[in-house]
Parts: sequence; structure tokens; C-alpha cells
Amino acid sequence: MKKFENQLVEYIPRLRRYARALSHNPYAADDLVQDTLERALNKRLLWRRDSRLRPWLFTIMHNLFINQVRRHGATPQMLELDENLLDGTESPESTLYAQQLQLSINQLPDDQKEVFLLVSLEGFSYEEVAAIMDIPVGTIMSRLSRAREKLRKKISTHEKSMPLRRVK
Amino acid sequence: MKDDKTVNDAELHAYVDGQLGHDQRCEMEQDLDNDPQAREKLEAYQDINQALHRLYDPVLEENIPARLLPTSSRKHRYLVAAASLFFFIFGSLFGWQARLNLDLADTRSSSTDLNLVQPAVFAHSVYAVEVAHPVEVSARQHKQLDKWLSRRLKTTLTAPDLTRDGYQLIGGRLLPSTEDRMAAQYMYENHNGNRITLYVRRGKWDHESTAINYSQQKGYSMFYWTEDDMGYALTSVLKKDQYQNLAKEVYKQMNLNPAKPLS
Repeated sequence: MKKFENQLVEYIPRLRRYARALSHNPYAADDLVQDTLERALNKRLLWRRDSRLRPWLFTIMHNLFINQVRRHGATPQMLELDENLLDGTESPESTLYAQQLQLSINQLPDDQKEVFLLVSLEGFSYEEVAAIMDIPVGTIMSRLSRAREKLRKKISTHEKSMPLRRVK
Repeated sequence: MKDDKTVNDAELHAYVDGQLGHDQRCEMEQDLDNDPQAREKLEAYQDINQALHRLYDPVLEENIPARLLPTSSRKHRYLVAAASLFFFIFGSLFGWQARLNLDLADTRSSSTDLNLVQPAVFAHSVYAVEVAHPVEVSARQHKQLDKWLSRRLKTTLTAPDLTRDGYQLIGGRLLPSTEDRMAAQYMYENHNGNRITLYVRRGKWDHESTAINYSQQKGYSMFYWTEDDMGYALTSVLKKDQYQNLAKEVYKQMNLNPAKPLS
């Protein structure tokens, strides 16, 4: 039992990273992580020892997230850049690029955003993402492709129309 | 744009995501040479992935907020809580309760007013409204922040943990204060974006009382107190009763973990 909790703690940083990218609000993100951990603790008997813990935790988080979206509508548009994320050691160009990316990710539809982040940020295989989100691999591929194309186009237009206006 | 495409979209993504086998990868690299458009896409996708990690990987290094840790890992927090409860009860038996009576002291022109209350209100009004740079060192480097401020103020400082009261540490900064002294400002924020600051400095205070005092200045409200040569001021725009408990919490933590002069 204790072992389960220790394993859980190990994955907290990754769950926080994903939640942060998903919601762009550090507090809302940690709320989501907290709910995920609570549910995992309550349901630990349902977790099969032979399956990997990380995809299971992300499955729980995904379900909580879509329930949240269903209840409150799509995640709110970001009002402010999450500036804590950039530590100031970056060049102005790469900071600008990162900010643009942050805004563009926030504008993706939630289902595309999730696929994109689970693959690109969390490094899950397409099959794992399909299992986490409970949809066919083909759908994963088309969402991923649409998400990346949107991001690519948005960022390249903005690169041309510099300077970026700051969003407050 | 459609038929001259030799690289298929699914494979392109699989390549970016490292989900192709060795042979497929080699084949793909050859195909890419004949398909500049696909190569351009590929590079854009790779840039996006890199930027994504630069943006969010720092979250992995952040301290995990206490509220996320399962109870077993939080045992030491209960010890702290138990100790503070003990301190509180024990203290109140010996008249500490009196110290917690929050009276509106008239401190005008006292050294506490000039060197603690006024600079703390000013520092709050300057920095709490900052969107981009509210703090100099973020809470991500919590330990370094405490260490640095302790070194500069020549005392042992620890930022109080107010997560249980719904306030997260954003970070802190070093400030010049009056009497050629320096001060530290810690900033906290709750989920509504309400910010409070804790202003700390050393000084010679002209009254012995270590009671928590309350004061209102220029639309800000403040709880402040002194303990030996340390002065503390907790400033916000909240009403007195909205954060009285928070002030008590800071007071308790500061007493549990008293600042000791260095050198």
C-alpha cells in the first residue's frame, strides 16, 4: 500500500506538467492533479499490478478533465501568459516563440490539445494515447495532424507579423 | 500540393515522435530529400516540440505543493501542525493570547511606523500590482530564495507556508529600506489572484510589545509585529477579518521558526 503511494508521488511532477499545459493556470492545474491523485488512491484496488501506472494515472486525469469540460464548457481562454514558465535565460526570439506557442496551444480545441500534449509533451505512443482517451488510433492520428498544422500555421504567421502584442 | 507528396502525413508524425523503426526511419530520411515541403513541416514540428519542452519541463523541477502529497509523505507537516497547536495552547496559558489581541495601535512617528509600516505599504503598492515581474526570484527556486535573502539580511529567513490557507508563494525580492537597512518581501497569491506580501527586516524597534498590530494606510490593510530585532508586516487589500487568521498563521510559523541573526 505504501509502495503504491510512493509510486504515485514519483509521477506527480509529470501529472503537474501535463495539467499545467492543459489549463495554463497553475492553481487550476494543481486542482486537477489533486483530484487525479485522490481518485487514484480511492481506486487503487482497480489498478491491475501488471499494467503500467503512468498511463493509468493519465487516463484518470483525462476523464476528470473531460468531465470538467462537460460541466463548465471548454477550458477558458487564457487571460495572461504563464510567465513563471520562462526563466529569463532565453533569447528574446525564443521567448517570443514560446509565448506564441503557449497562446496557440490554448486556442486548440480540447480534444486536439490533449492528443498533442500527450504525444509531444508526455511522449506516449499513439496506442497508449488511444487507450488513455478511449478512441481509435486513427482518430488520434488525425487529431494530432490537425493540431500540429494549426500550431505551425499560427506560429509562422505570427513570426511574420512581429512584434507580438503582449496579452495581459 | 497533393500528388507530388512522397512522404505520407502519418509517417511524418511518427518520425517526429520517434515512433518509426530503424528501417522506416532510414527510408523516410531518403524520401525527405525529395520532398522539401515535407521537410519544412518536419522542421516546424520539431521546433514546436522543442519549444514545448522548454516551456513546460521546468514544472518537473518545481517543489510539489504540500496539498498534493499523500498523507504518509506529509507526516512531518502534521508534526509541525501538532507543534504549533501545542505552542498555541501552551502560549495562551501564559498570556500569549493577549499578544494576539489585535488592537489598532497608534504608531504614528514611532520607529515601527517609519521603518516597518510605511516602507512595507509602499513596497506592497509597488510590486503587488505587477503582472510580468511581481517577484525577483520565483518560488520555483524557493530554497535559493530563502538562502539569498537570509544572507543579505544577515538572519535566518524561511518563507512561511500558507498553502493550507489557500495562498501560494510566488517568490520574493530584496529591497532597500530605511536606516541603511535591507528588507525582504515575500509575495503570495490565492486562486482568485489576491496577493498579499510579507515584508521582513531587522531594526531597532522602540516598543517592547510583540503583539500583532493592525493598521490601515492608503487603502491597504496590514498586520505587523516585532520580535527581538525582527519586524514583520503582512499587507493586503483585504478586510481585517478576511485575513486575520492568515496573519496569526504567519505569526505562529515565524515563532516556530524564529529568525536568528547570522554573524
